[in-house]
Amino acid sequence: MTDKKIISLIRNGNRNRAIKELYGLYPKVKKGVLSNGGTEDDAREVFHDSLVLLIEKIEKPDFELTSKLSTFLYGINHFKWMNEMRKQQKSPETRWNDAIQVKAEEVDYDEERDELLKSLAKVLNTVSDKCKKIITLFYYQKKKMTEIAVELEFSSVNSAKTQKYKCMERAIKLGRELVKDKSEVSL
Amino acid sequence: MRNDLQFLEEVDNYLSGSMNSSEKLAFENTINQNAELKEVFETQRDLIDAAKRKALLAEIESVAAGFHGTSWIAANAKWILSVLVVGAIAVSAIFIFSVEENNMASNSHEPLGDTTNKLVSGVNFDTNETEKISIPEGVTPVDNQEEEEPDFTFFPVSNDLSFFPTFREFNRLKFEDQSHSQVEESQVDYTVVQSKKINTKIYNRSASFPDGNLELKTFVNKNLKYPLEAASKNIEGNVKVDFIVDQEGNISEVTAQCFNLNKANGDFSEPFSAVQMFFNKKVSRAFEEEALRMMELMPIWTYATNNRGKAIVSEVRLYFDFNYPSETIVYQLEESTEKKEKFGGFKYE
Repeated sequence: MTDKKIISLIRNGNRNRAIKELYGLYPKVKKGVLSNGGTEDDAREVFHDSLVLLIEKIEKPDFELTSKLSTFLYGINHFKWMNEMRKQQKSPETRWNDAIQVKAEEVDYDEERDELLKSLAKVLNTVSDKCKKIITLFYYQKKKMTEIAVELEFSSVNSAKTQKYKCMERAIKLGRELVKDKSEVSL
Repeated sequence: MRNDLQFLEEVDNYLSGSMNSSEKLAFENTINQNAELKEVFETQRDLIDAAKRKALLAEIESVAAGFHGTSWIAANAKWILSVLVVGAIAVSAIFIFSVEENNMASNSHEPLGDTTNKLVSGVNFDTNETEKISIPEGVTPVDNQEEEEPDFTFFPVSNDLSFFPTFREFNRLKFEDQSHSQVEESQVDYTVVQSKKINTKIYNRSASFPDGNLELKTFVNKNLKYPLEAASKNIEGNVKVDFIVDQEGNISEVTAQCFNLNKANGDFSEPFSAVQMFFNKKVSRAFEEEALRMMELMPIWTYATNNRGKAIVSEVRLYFDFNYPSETIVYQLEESTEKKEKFGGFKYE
């Protein structure tokens, strides 16, 4: 499958097939991580994170294909794993087969933001299950509030909207505290 | 409260891009004027991104779970495939061998002289050459039964094994012919044109059509006119053309011989008998003339070289298979068929 086809699949909301296709690149990444002091779980985690970054990047309207998707994915995997090794204060061996060395700017990788989003995801874990469902349906699957009200059996669209607002308000409050804590720690 | 709800919706609209440009501008202005609102906006934006990312990760993991569930086959697909392919090749090889050996075995019902002729003409035994020579003359190995067993299970011809001359015995017969030919050929004087037997051993490159055999085929099919005599009678023919390619690639001493005719009837056409061949002399001559005309049109060939890279004179034999109405095939046999024809008697001669 060509890169263009994968991109169009992702843009048309058929992520599942695109992910299946991109998963064909996993063995190489796994080999790279394993030969650089990681475990299979590490490899899977790094690969999944990289897939997320790639798909997010493709979904942006201003995305342009500057290199092959496989190159991009290998590059970002390599970069992420090297970062991980640095964090664990191990000297990374640069025996990463078949990966073209890329810089952080090239793959558009913002480590700080990555960290922030990870901690915010933890915040989202603390909200109720119904909230999670609403947030996922509305923001990820891009469903309309009327559909969500029917699906989650709210009495009216307005009550669904109010529920969503309450969820987000709580999450925002927690998130802001978290960000403040972080900035205080770093100061 | 109400105000906050409105702001949240505005942020959603702004991020999803459903605002028009003037609304966008107004929204950006209000954010930039109010530091707290800006912070709320940023947190909400990041939260939404985090939620999206989380959902995406969940989707990836669900897909991955399917992958890792069937991972053994997926990971080893290449190996499994290659093993299957190798197995298939092995099975088909065994099958083909058994069929060939069986043909030989079934031939042995006929008188011996006849069978050797058929063998020599019909079966390509060049590949067995090394094996043949390694067997000393006069020795008939006893351990043939084991080799032949699979054939009989495949195609039970007869239960009486002792009736058949064994495969090795056939080889020995052929081997005798070979040794005979070697003696004879060594007495020939090679000063003018060297024999092909020596060609294949010494030369690094044999003479060929300038751009290879595929080009030769296209060249011939471009220029060839199917002989009228043959086309009107619906006859196909096979012609062999012998010629000499000198050190400069010039072609000389061309001789053509039509050694087979048959009715154009797809793949199932029987070759003409000697009598039929006799009555169709005109047709075979037309084929020969056409082949000779082709040779006249030929460009300068790539000359043969010896292992020192020096240009040498070489003898070439081309086969023209005139097919009607499909295209004519021209080919060069890798090894000389001379010996077979001398001692085995070529089938169509």
